[in-house]
Amino acid sequence: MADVLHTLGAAALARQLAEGSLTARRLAEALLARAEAQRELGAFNSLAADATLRQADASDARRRAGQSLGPLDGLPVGIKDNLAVKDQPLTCSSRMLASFIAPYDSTVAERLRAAGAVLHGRLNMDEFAMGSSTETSATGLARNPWDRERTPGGSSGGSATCLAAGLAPLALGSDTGGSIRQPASHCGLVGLKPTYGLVSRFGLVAFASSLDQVGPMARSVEDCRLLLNAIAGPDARDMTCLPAAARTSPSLPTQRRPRLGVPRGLIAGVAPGVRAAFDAALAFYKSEGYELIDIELPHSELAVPAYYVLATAEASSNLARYDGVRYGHRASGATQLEDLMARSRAEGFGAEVKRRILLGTFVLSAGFADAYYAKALRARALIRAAHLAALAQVDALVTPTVPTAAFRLGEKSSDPLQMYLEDLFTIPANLAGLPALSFPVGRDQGLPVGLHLVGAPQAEETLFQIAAHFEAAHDLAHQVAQP
Amino acid sequence: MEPGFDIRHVARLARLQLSAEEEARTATELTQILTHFAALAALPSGTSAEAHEVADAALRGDQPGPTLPPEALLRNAPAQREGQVLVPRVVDDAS
Repeated sequence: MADVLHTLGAAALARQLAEGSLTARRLAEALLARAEAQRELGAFNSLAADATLRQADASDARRRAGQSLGPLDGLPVGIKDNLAVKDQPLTCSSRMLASFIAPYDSTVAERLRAAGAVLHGRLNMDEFAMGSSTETSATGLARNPWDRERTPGGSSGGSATCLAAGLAPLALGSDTGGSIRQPASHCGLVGLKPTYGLVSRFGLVAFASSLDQVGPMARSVEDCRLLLNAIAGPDARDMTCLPAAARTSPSLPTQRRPRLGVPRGLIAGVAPGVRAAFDAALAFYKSEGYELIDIELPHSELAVPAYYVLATAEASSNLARYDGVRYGHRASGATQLEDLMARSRAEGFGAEVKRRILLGTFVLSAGFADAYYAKALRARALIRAAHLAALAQVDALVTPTVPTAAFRLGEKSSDPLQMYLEDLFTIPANLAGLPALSFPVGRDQGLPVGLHLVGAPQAEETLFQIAAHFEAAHDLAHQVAQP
Repeated sequence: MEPGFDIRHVARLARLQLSAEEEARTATELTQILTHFAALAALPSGTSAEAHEVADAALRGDQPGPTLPPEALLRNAPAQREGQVLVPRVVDDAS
């Protein structure tokens, strides 16, 4: 049975652990061995086998004592390398933080521990989550398990590679403009960017604070929901968290047909293979009694520019903390403070991070802030209003997750603008603070294609239900690439 | 190039040392990117509403609690001495 453990989802593994036909120790050992054998995929920045096994043993001891903590107890969860796990490295795939050890747990790590989960390894990512291919990682690129010459997407590329290769049943990512959903789409996974404020960011290394969300990734809708339930909830250490009293969880209405809004004007440029999978998915929903409604989303053309202005502006401020003084890389031989900062940052950051810091500094600088930053804020408000108006008519908005399937490594790395357009469909949900889900609906020449759903605030359950409907009728969940 | 776009000035504001090659390349790339963002400039100016409604965003209660010990915070410092972070001299002896 050990040879199929890596293909089982979280819910199936939890049943075996509960029955006693599997121990957390044996599961952890099997997944560690598999990760070791597949190092060339670049999924993990580091593994702490001792820590993984120690947590697994503690889970088995709890279970023997009749004190299991629930369905996640004993299940390994891969953690993106921008989420703090106490006493483990926290590199953000950057030279800047190459030797940084997290002094505390992020809230999501703390919640997973409380649920008995085994925090498993540090997952590769684009440097400081800035990228759509995991090629900006200073620790080496990650490969798409379905075609190793292609990107798994990014920035949570390590999380996606880990899941698609069967190196863990669950993983956490973070999503600022599509960083969970785009890699989920490219690797045949289910990935959710929760409503802004649903999951605490305490202990998440900040990139763009008005956009960042932590979210779950898995190989099925059920597993994705399981992980979300473990990490969601108010946290006094993140003031943007929705208070408990404001929590709602709307699900699909039962008294009328479900409605999907299709912004046809946006999907003209989609690749033919992606378009075919998208049309087939819509045909499925129609045949199942869903109402498909053509919808206008005005101001959509402003989403990518507004996003790159706001995200880089916020990044230029958030990354000012890396000054070579209190932590992070310090250049040697500097005799003056400003020289120390400028050189430490020059040595510690990679090209994409520098590009975004410079762009963000420019759009906030005197004489230009009104033309760029203020206009981007206005565009964001218009986009949010347009989405909320559309979502008053439908239960979810539906597009492909990405205009194309996974591209070849190196294909876009020399053209930042082309790379930025990868996020065309995913960015608006971050700008508007709305929940959005990608799940697999087909293949384009063997490569996974995802469908993207955007819901009203806190309508995660609605999105899960719509995705589960498709999943139940197709054989696309729990897919693991064989080496 | 954008009028007034000065890569050296921006790099100085960002406390980021750039090589001559990086200066030239970044100036070209940023100009291209900003050109693509021209649609934003066409938006009429106006008040920008808050994009997120963080319901009842409240500060947490002002209650004392445990904090990290100094050794935990100093563990990641690039240089330290006697419980302090060490940096290059910033004040002249004369002052």
